[in-house]
Amino acid sequence: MHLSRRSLLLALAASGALPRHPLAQGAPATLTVSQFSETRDLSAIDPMRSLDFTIPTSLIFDPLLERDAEGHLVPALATAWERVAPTTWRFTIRGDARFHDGSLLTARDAAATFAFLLDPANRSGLRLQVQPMQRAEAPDDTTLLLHTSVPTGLLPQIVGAVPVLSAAQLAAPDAPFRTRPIGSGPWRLAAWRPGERVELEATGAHWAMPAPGFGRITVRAVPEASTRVADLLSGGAQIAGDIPPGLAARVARGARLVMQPGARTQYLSFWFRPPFDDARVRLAVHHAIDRKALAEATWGAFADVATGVVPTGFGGYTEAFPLSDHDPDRARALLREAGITTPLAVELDTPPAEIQAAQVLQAQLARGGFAVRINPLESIAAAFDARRLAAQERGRMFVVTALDNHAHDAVRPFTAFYAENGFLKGSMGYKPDARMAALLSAYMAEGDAAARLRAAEALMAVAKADAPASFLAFPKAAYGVAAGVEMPRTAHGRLDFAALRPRAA
Amino acid sequence: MTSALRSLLGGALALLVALLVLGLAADLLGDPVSRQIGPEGDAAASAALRAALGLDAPWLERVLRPMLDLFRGDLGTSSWLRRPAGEAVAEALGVTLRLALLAWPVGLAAGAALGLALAALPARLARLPLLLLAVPGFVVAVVAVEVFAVGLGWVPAAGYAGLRSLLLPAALLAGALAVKLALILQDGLRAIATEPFAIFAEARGLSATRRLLAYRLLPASALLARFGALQAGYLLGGALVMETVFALPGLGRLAVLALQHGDLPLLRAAMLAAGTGFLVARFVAEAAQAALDPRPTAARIA
Repeated sequence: MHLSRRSLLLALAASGALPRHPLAQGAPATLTVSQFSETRDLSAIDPMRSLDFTIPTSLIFDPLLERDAEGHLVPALATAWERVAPTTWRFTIRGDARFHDGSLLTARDAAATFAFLLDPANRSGLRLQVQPMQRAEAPDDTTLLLHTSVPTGLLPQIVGAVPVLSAAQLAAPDAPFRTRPIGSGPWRLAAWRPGERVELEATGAHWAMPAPGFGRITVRAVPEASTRVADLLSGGAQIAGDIPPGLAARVARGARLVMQPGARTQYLSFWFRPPFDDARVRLAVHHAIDRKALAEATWGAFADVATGVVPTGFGGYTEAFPLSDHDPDRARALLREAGITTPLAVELDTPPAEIQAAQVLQAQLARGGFAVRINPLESIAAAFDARRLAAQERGRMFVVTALDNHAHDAVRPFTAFYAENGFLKGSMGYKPDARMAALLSAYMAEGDAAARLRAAEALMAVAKADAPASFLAFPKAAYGVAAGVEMPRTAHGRLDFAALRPRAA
Repeated sequence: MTSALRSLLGGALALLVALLVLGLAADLLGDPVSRQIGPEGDAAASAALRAALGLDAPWLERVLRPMLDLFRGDLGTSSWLRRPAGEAVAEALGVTLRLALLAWPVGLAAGAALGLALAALPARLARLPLLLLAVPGFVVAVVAVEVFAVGLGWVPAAGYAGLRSLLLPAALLAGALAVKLALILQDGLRAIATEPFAIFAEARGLSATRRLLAYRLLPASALLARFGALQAGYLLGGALVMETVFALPGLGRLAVLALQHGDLPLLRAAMLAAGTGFLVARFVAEAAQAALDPRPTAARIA
């Protein structure tokens, strides 16, 4: 049988016998990253849309505060910060940071940024993410005063990640910061192809990083995981993000797998209409779920099982949900106590990324007395669609991986889930236990870490019994990294471009 | 030609009705406010967006105003992208057009050649390529990326960076088009072979080449034109699977984005672009079909 050179190559390539591209042949002049969760779809690059869109915001802008490798807050634009009154924090803004157009960044820019995002008319997604922020002022060029509606000991954690924009850009009539952002970060935006890529180039004049490891960075939004890995293995990208467990072995064939602590949370919650207006039914769901088995089946080694509202190591962590909570008999007993005949038929709204988890949940909940019908949705956004939900007479469950925790503290899930102005109440119809507001205020106000932990325990004792959400897992950030790139461990939960360095082969 | 023109006008009317129906059924697409602001948006921000999107206006105004704007050439502003919907669609259409212009002629030529070859085989064997269509496009695309991008390094695996990045998705689209076309063409050729004019040509003792070209392929070319044009319309609508696998910012992905975010102006603009592309392709096909098919029609006889 005659084999042409071409057909031989094809056969070898298909069998995996062909040598891969030599990724380690010198450091790339341009770093190319194939990403999705941190870029979303790159159809928008508006830094005021949400703190969850970290690319390209984290490259173009500087935040007030950064996190070191251990996750501790360290100075960035703010060189010092202190609580000057129960509801007021003072941040000292450095005097040597400049925007990419050469203008000096001052506290007035920071105050303008907060004023912009707090104004409901601007529809910034950051507004609720920085609650209980109320007002910002800049009495001089280096002093930023942030005022909160209630005493808040955790404000630096809450607002630290907010990017500081130019007051001039914020005031411009056509909102140029949404499409042509000018920041003070180490890289400036060179090009943006909506829905496809951003290209950035080092300014060479950053106050902390005049010469970053990579002078040019291209980030592509690639929704399909297998294509991200192919992009990495073919040498098209040097970093591929959001590697699912099933592709780990493939990554290892030509690159290395790097896992960092993640920032997101996989959780299950409800549309709080009957039967989920009854805390006993919600608690039954919690007891029916075997989180360890669920995490192993869906994430493998790529996630930590949730035993609290935040991963261990985050501020406010308490082991509120020990694995021994898994008790299907207790779940059935709770349903009986609520006067419900089993099996209780319920629907589980499921975005595409959660189908596997939903199937495991379906089987687990069946043992706890629930007959779950999986309702596939086209996106996470559909799970929270107010019009769709309003048409539902009966309550339903949903499972998502979201809630990026930039604060690295329990304050993020506390305010999202348990607060009077949290999203479970505002969007999903939850009626929080009346005791929780005071307990949450106590947690927020406390400046001392040990005392805050006690406040967290008190809050969780009530919150657990009310069971508005079941925390399932904390997925890790998994990256495929080519040999030519040094990627130190960070605690950001996102790509830390400043820490990336070329590595000799 | 008159028939093709009538069909084009009818299609344009149908497209306008479809756009009107889209407006009437907008509520079924979900709530754009909660989809765009997300669950953590507060009531004040939601109210501001609702007002900005004109959702507070009376229902009839919400349905009719975009149609009136459309006639003025204004496709509206994408609520998710916060930029003119026409501008976003034009960018995406540029990618989709390039992909279609590469895939379509290659697929058409390969399909015609394969169809002729299959027509020469026994009927049972000729249907074997049908098995290829049973393989999901997604699987074929992923395997092709592994072979040609990862293994051989001939093309990039993802992203849009000029012609080279379109070669593999275009080849896959052309391959799928060719197989479908070949199967239809070989069926058509077999059917034409039994028609009286074909039998008569054989009885006249015409050469095999002349019989093939003038008495089989020429009548079948009308079929080729019609199917080819329909496929061109499909390609102009955005080849979603290829755009997703290869991370190409084309019209299909843009339409899905619009749907996910309940972005009606963007969806309307994408639908208009895809629909217009389809209508133009169909018009060309019908005009070509009328010109190519030598068989007598009622109009010609009259």
